[in-house]
This record gives sequence, C-alpha cells and structure tokens, in this order.
Amino acid sequence: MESEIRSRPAFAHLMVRLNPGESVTAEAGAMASMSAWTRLTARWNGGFFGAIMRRIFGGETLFVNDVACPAGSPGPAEVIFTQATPGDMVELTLDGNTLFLQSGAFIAATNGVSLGVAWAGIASLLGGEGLFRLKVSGRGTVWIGGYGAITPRQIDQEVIVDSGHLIAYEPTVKIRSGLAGGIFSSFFGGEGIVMRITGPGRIYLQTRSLEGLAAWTNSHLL
Amino acid sequence: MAQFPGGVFDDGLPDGRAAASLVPGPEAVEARLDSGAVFVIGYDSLRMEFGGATGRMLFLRGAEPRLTLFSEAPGLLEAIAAAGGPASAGAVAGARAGQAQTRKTHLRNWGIALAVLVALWFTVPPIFRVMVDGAVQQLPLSVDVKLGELASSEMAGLGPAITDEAVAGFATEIVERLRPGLPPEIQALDLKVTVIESTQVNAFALPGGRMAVLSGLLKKADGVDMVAGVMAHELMHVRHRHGMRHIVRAAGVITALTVLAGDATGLLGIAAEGAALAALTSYSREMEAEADLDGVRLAAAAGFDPAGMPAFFRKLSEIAPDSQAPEALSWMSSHPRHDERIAALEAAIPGLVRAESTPMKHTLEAARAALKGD
Ligand SMILES: [Zn+2]
Repeated sequence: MESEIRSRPAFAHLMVRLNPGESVTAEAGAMASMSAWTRLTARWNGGFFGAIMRRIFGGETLFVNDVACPAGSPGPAEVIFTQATPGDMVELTLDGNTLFLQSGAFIAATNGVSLGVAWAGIASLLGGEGLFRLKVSGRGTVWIGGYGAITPRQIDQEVIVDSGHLIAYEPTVKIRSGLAGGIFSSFFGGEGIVMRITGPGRIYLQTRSLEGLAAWTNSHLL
Repeated sequence: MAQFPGGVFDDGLPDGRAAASLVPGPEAVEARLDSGAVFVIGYDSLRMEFGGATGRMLFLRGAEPRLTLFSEAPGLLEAIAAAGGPASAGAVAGARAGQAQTRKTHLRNWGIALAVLVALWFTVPPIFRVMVDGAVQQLPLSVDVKLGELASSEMAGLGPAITDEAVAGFATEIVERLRPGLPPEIQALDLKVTVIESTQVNAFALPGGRMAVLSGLLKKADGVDMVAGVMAHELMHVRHRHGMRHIVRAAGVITALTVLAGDATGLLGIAAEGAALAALTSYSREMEAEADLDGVRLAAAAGFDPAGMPAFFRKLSEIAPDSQAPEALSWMSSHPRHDERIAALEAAIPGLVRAESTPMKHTLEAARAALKGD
C-alpha cells in the first residue's frame, strides 16, 4: 500500500494505492474516485447502535465504507478520498495507542485500526462537538482532515480552545467546557463557550471552524 | 503477572510517547514497550491520580518529572494495591481520595445543573408567554386576516359549502346574534361563517374571523343552544387571537432551540419539529379554557342558554365510546380533557346573566330538514 496527501494544505485529498488483497476503511462520503475494480462495502459506523446514536447526536454518517482491491485484480487500485471542507489532512500512526476524533474528522484508516464510538459527555456537547466521538485504536494508519490547516499541539498546562477547533485528541487529555471570560464578555464578546483542556497529551486543532463559516455566511445572506 | 495496556510519556522517546504494558510488581510498576525498553516507577516515590478524557485514566508519576505512565485498563489500581501491599498503600490511598473528591465535585455540579434546569422550567414558560402575547399585540389584526385567507383554501378540501338559505342562514343568524358581545375591532372583521357538507362533527375559526361549521355538527346537536355554544367558543379563539399566539409561540420555540443548539440538527431539530407540530394541531389548555369561559358568557349575553356548551361536550363524550365513525368526533379530538372542561363550565354558568331570548328566524329543525342524507 502506498499513500500520499496531495494539494496540501488548502484542498488536501488523499490518494491510496491498494495492492490486490489490500483494503482500507473510509468515511462513507469520502471516496471521490477509484479504479474500476475497487470494491466498496458499506457497514455500520461503530456498530448498529453506535451508528444510530452518532447519527442522531453527533450528525455523523451512518456508514463507513470498506474499500478493497480484490485479490486477482489486474493491478493496484488507486482511490482518491476527499473531505467536504477545504483544508488539510494529516496521516497519524497508531501503534497500540488510542485517539478520539470529533465529528467529521475521520477520512480513512488501515485494517489494523478499529473504529468505535465513545460517549463524549456534556462538555463536548456544550462545545458544539456532539455527544459521541469516534474512538480509533489499534495499530496502523489513520488519516484525518480538518477545515483550514491542522496543527498538533502538545499540552502540559491548561490551554483554552475555542469551540469548533478541536478535531482530535489523545485519551490522556481532560476536556471541560467553560466560558471564555465572565458571563458578560462571553455573550457579548463573541467567544461564548470554550474548551479548557489539560494534559498531558496531544491535541490536533483545525485553524478554521465551521461555526465561524456559518456565522460569516449568515451575515452575508441577511 | 498481570499486564495492563496503557502508555508512557517520556521526553527520551522518539515521539515523546509510546504504547506500553503496565506490570505492577512487588516494589515498582514497570512499563514495557514493544521496543523492549522498560520504564520503572518505584512505589516509594509513586503518586497516582485519575483524569483524562473519560476521568478513568490512571496517571502514575514518580521522582523523574519527565516520566508519566498511564492506563485506562480496569483493575490496575487494585492490582497495584495487591502487588505492592504496604509499599504501594500510600499511593493507592492518594488515588482513591482524589477519585472521591472528583465524584463529589461531579455530584455538586450535577446538582447545580439540575437546580438551574428546574428554575428555568418554572420561570421561562411564563416569561415566554408574556413575550408572545406582547408580540402578538404589536401585530395589527390585518395580519390575522391575511393568515386566515392563506388557511381558508384548506377549508375547501373538507367538502362543498352548503348555500341553502335554511342552513347557511341559520349559521349566519347565530353569528349575528353573538357579534354585539364582541369588542368593536373584532366586530369590524368579516365574521363570515360557512356550513360545509361533511359527516364530521366539527367547527373551527381561522385567524381573522372566518368560521366553518361542518354539517355533521348540526345533525348531532340537540338544539340551537348547543350550536351557539360551539360557535361562541370558536369566536373567542378569534377574539383572543389564539391562532396568532400559537404560531408566534411555535416560531419562538424553534428560534430559541436554534439559538441554543447553534443549528437545529439532530435531536434538537426533532424536538423543534415536534414542538411546531404540537403547537399547530391544537391550542393550549389555557387557550381552550379561555375560549370556553368567555364563550359561554358571550352565548348568554346573546340570549342563548349557556348550558348548551357543556351539554354538547357531554353529549360528545357520551357518544364517543360506541361511535362507529371516529371522524364524527373530530372536534373532540382537537378539544380534549372534556371532563375538566364540563366541570369548569358548569361551575361558571350560575354566575352568568342570560339576556332575554327571542325566537330565531332560522331554526335548527329547518336547517336539518334541508340537509341531505339525514
Ligand atoms: Zn377551541
């Protein structure tokens, strides 16, 4: 298997070349083009119940696709994965560790990676991230995408992240929701609810937020 | 020896971290990496606390400030207590004390959240109602009329209008008798009533004053006072602008949910749709009570017997159980809780002043005779 993230960072997309017999798992809507002999199989994203919960509470798609180049194919299958928002993608390696992903960040993963659904809690809901999060663990490669650039950040002391910017984090970090300042400045200063994150651990941030885009769009529609 | 999946943070590692198996021994906890490297924290310097994204991640730290072991595997704390005995007892007690403290904080936070919710539950709806009523008062009655016109095309779908003078004149005469009891701005509306041929026992008023009486109601009613009672009730929905208040309320709920949720997707979207549906299908309990009590007063002031309205409710609830045609009772399905309403009406009636009754030019009997298929 070979892979490459192209057109970085603004319009990143992922190319995966699967040799016969190889496969990856991808977000249901991520596949943009593929060789004719590629086989797509849809399955529940994190089990039936988890998929339904994520659909209702997290706004996620119900299915993920298993994308395979069947054994005996005439050659490697080249598959292009894209994301809905303009932005970067990064490749992360899991070797026995776990990562939590927020809604929409997951693009694809290799076979050794297991996808699960984990309760994210009220803090996550208040931060605009939904009640459930995707848990990726095991060994292999995970590709995640974000809106704008993606920057990893190692957390030791508490940091404050505006809601909508956190896309992935290690399970060792603790996340609480809170107000950016006092109640007054929070409601009138436009920052509102933020996430207070304490380490140790690493988080991945996207530089832009969909909320920001929605607000900007609304202000131009009216 | 038991092994627990977890990991290590250490500045010496290539990525600053690695997955590891944690192994509690008699004197120390070891973290064994795939690479063969082993990190050790002795019980003499061990400090432990729970944290992480779920709150169940156990962090282990020792004398070396740059080294942290962690694992979320259940049973690790117990295994450290068992393996270390007195040597690890202090660290284990520290972790448990921290856990108890966290639980206490959680419980307190949930308590506060619950108290805030309860307080909002009791304060927001009344404030909201006052705001809605204020908003509706700012809207001219012409908005009600426009809205009623939009909805009146729906009326045509119920059945053909009956133009026979014995039927149409009967309904119109009741409205004309009730009209003087209404405030001037409502009297100025086009309070037009149409009798529609239908088996349904129903009557309704649209915002702006257009009313419909379905002919099934004329067939089921035992006298003009019953018909007048229902029509007075419907006119009071017009007079109090219940339709407008309803729509503004539903719109307000959807707007509020949208503001709270950021956007109305997922569960909140479903809740908003449900609220809108409930709001548009039937009026609230207070609105119905208001239409009932003001309605009997209006009927009595026009010389009708105010007992007609509760008598009609009673008749409907009596024929309900053995009714072969559920659609015959559609007025009742949009006007539930009839037992309470009958009781409230009958309590109010003795205090009412009934105006002198003059005979109707159009009678219910003549109207019924003119109806087909009786
Ligand atoms: Zn009513």
